[in-house]
Order: sequence, then C-alpha cells, then structure tokens
Amino acid sequence: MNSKHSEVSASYALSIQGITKTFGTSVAVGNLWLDLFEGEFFSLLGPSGCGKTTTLRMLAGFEYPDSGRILLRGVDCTSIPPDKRNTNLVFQHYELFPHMTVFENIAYGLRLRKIREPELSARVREALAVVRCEELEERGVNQISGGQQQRVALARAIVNRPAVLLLDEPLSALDVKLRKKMQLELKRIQHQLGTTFVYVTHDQEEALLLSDRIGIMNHGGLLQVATPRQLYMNPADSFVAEFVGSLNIFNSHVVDVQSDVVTVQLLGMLSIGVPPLLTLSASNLHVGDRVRFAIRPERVQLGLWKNNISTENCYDMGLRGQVSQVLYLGGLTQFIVTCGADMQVLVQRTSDRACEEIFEGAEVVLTCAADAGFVLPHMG
Amino acid sequence: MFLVAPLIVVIVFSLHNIPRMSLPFNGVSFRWYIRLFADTEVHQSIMRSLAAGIATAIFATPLGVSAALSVRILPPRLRNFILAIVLLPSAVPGLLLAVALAIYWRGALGLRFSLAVAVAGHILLALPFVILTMNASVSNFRYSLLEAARDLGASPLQTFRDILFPIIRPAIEGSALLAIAISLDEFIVTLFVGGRDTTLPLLIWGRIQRSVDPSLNALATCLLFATTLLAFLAVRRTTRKL
Repeated sequence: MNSKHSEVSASYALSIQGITKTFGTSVAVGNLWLDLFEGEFFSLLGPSGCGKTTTLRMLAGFEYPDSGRILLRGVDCTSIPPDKRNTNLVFQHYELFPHMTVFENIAYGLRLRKIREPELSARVREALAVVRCEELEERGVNQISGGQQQRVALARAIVNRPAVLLLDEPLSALDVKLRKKMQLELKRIQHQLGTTFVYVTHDQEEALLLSDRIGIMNHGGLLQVATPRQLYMNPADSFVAEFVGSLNIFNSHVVDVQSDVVTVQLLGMLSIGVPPLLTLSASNLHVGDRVRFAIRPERVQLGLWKNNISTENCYDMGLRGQVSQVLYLGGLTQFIVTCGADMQVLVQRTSDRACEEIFEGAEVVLTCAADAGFVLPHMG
Repeated sequence: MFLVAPLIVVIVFSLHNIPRMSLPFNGVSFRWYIRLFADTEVHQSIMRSLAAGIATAIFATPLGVSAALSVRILPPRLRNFILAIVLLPSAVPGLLLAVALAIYWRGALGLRFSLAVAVAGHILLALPFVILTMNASVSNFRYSLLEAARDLGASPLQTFRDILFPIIRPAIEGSALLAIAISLDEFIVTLFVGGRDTTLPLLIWGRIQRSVDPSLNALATCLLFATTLLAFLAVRRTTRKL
C-alpha cells in the first residue's frame, strides 16, 4: 500500500501532501493536498492573506511546513533548504542583483552549480533567447525597463532548468498594457519549455487566461481545483462562484426538484429551471428550501421591451426592468438593470449595433437559457 | 567664514618662512613641514595615531555593521528603541566618558593605561557613528535579494560573499574611514587612559603648552587635511546608492 502510494506520487511533478503552516495562532495554510502534473501551468488563486504565498514559499524552501510532506518528482523535499532544491522562484519584485550585469545575474545559479565555459555562456544566451532579451546581456539591471527586468528575472530562474518553476505574482508590478503582453509571453515560454509552473496570483482574469488548472484558495485551504472553464461554469461553492468572474445573485426558493433539474422561483413569481451544482446536488434540495440563484452577466440576455427576445429552449425569465446605467467598456457593454423595487441585474454583451439602441432609462426584458445559471446555498 | 578663520590662519602660517605668527607675511616656504618630517617624536605619534585609528576601525566596523544589519529584522518600534540606546554614548560628555573609562580600566580591571585602553575608548565612541551610517545605508537593502541567491543555489556563506557583502561594501568602507577619522581626532579619552603613548593630538597639545612652535601649524594643517579627506571619503562611500 505504502510503496504503491509513492509509486503513484512519483509520476507527479509536485505532490503536496497535507501541509500545514501556522504563524503564532493563525493558520496560514491548513492541511493542503495537491498533485501537479509534469508540464502543467497551475495557478494558486485567492484573495490576499489566503495562504497562497505561504504555500509557494514552502514549495521554494523558505518556510518549512509544521506537518505534511512535499514531494518533488516523487522525492521528499519537505525540509530541504532552498539552495538544495530543484525549484526556482520568480519574485514579485524580481530581486535582480544590483551589482551584477544581466549576464552575471543569469549566470549566477550556473556558476554555483560549477558549470564552466563554454556551456555557461551558451546556457545564459539560450535563456536570454527564450525571454527575447539577447541584446541586454551586458547591461546593468538598473539600466533596463521594468518589463525587461521581469524577463531577466524569468531567465535567471529558467536557466537552472528547475523541476518546478514557482512564480509569485510576477506581473503585479507592471502596468496593464505590459502585463497583458507578458501574460502571453509567459504562456508561450511555458509551452516552449514544458516546465511545470506554479503561479500565484490574486488576479482571476490572469489565472483564467494562463492556467491549465487553477486552485482557488481561501483561509489557508483549497476550495476547488479545476480547469478555468470548469471553475467558471461549475464553481464548487459560493466563494469560488463569487471570486471568479462577476455574478448576479438573487434570493429564491426551490419549487420543484427533478433528478437533473431544480426549479427555483425568483421574486415570488418567476420560475427558472437550473442544473444542480457540484456541491449542491439535487438530492440535497427539497421543495421550499431557500437557495440563491446565480447567473453570470454575459449569460443574461437583454432586449428592448417592444421587440422582446423569446427564442425556443429559453426559460423565459420574463423579467421586466429599466436600464439604470450603461457602462461602455469598448468591446463589451454592461448594463445595470433595475427590476422591481431593489433588484439590480448586471448584464454584459458584446458592443454591437443593437446595443447602441439601449439607453439609460430604456424599458427592457431579461431572459436566460435553461442552463445559464446555477443555485448556491442560502447564506446564513 | 568667521568659523573657519582660525583654520585659515593656521594653514597660512604653516607656510610662513620665518618663525613669526603675525603679519606682515614675509614669504612662503615649506621649512616647517621639512622640520616636521625630521622629528622622530612626530613620527612615533603619527604611527600611534594611525595604529589606534586602524585598530578602532577593525573592531568598530564589524561590530557596527552586524548591529546595523541585525536591527533591520526587528519590528520598527523595537529597532528605534535599540538605536536610541546605541546612540547614548555619543550623548555622554567626553570628559565623563573618559573619567568613567579610567576608573573602570584601572580600578575594576586593574589594567595599566596604554594606547590599547585608549583604543577601547575610541571604539566605544566610534561605534554609534558606524551603526548610524550603516543603518542609513542598509535601510533600503532588500533582504529578499538574499532569498533570491539562496533560491539560485547559494549557501548562506556564498550568499554573504556574493550578494550581501559586495552590495554593502561601500557603506562598510565608509564607516571604517569614519571610525579612523574619529579615532585620529580623539583627545580627551586618550589623554586620560592613553598612559605615556602620545598620539598626534596629544603631542600637539603638549607642545603648545611649552612654546608656540610654527611647525605645529604644519602638523595641524596635515591633521586637518587628513581628517577632512577621510570624512569626505566616508560620506561619499556611504551615500552611494545601494
């Protein structure tokens, strides 16, 4: 049993087995289990203080867990110091050595590993080529831009060919435009190298864009580990649902339970059938239960009251409302629609011609497809 | 201008070609400097002063540097408290410190007064300044640079050798120079506990008691330029960006 277990974990790039870390009385990370595949881009996503950075620091070797094990390619490295570990960390603020040139920064790890010329130069140049900064070789690290520093920091880490590359919010210090560009670069580099990436971020868009899988963390624990699409469409619980993407949430109650569809009623009049959620299966719900109905802004369809959209296969929300705000975001337009006395619905759609005809104050009708929403447990 | 006037007088008359320290100015010569170089007593005191200065730097610098580095990791309130305590010796009047040291070394430890005892006093005097200049220089040192080095495979010793030391080296050199300058200038403590080992300031003082010797002008000018140069170098080193 035991040997079989370690055989299984040997096939993972990284295996985190029930690690716990407390600082004083506060639990930073509590009993975290996670297996990462070889070559995977994995993101740890969560709000600040959720334990994601502490987890990363334990993986790098800067903190040791109070209990649990960390296996790197099947080998226990729980208490191995950072310099003896086959991981490299890209720091949030890069931490390039100010007294060394770009070349020397990248070569430092290789020199410590007693790699000599000509291999040394060849590998440094190879790493610089991967991050597309060949021309910076002889520059001082204070003579290059923030984006270039980011690339050099990445090169300094990947040149050592770590089993797992750890990244601690590496793009958070860059401005938006550069960040978007670097996100694509990171994805390209990860594809090119095939190295396992563990990426810590609080930016959900970034996590969705980059990751093969995402682990959502809160209060030191993992709430859900899934692909970006699963996470967005089938959140495990209300924290995940609300943390990833925007969400409209309405108090409602169950009026009918079938094996594959739960019908809930909104505002005491409107019935919507929704597929049951991962953690809230139909068998747990009963008629009359108070639940929350949730729907993503882009899954709500909006039409002017006069030419009402009512296609087939649509559970007609039939919710009448008035546009109280139009938020133009370029490619997308968001509408805040007030329905009834105090219910506000956020609707998002691509900016097209029809959009331009919907002004603030317009009478509209909201509809949604049958499987567009999901139910969340009642709060409190 | 008013404050530096005596200095200018000293410098000017150190170049006077006759042994008179009043106007009119007769002519320029280096005779007092030449006489100085021939004076073995001056030689000895210069060597003692240099030895004391270097010894002060050798002891005060590592102590001060490690103190300044280690208080960085303390919470700010505790750090400021400790820095305030460290500064106390510089607030104590020199005379009081000298008397206290004399009583302590002779009375409590039963040591004979010598240059070594004076150096102990110099270290005490220089330490706050070393800590303060180091503290100012390391306050913006990024400790995560050390983590970055560890992450890349450096042992704690290699991290010190390759990252910490090279980066704070200018500040260390600056504080060492400062320690030497403080020791070179020091008078009261050396007078009290230095025993018969006269340093340069003591020699000048002793000679002034006897007569007004124009070669003292030359000596004082040398001392002035030496300490100013040291202080200048120290400031330039320590204020360099990390």
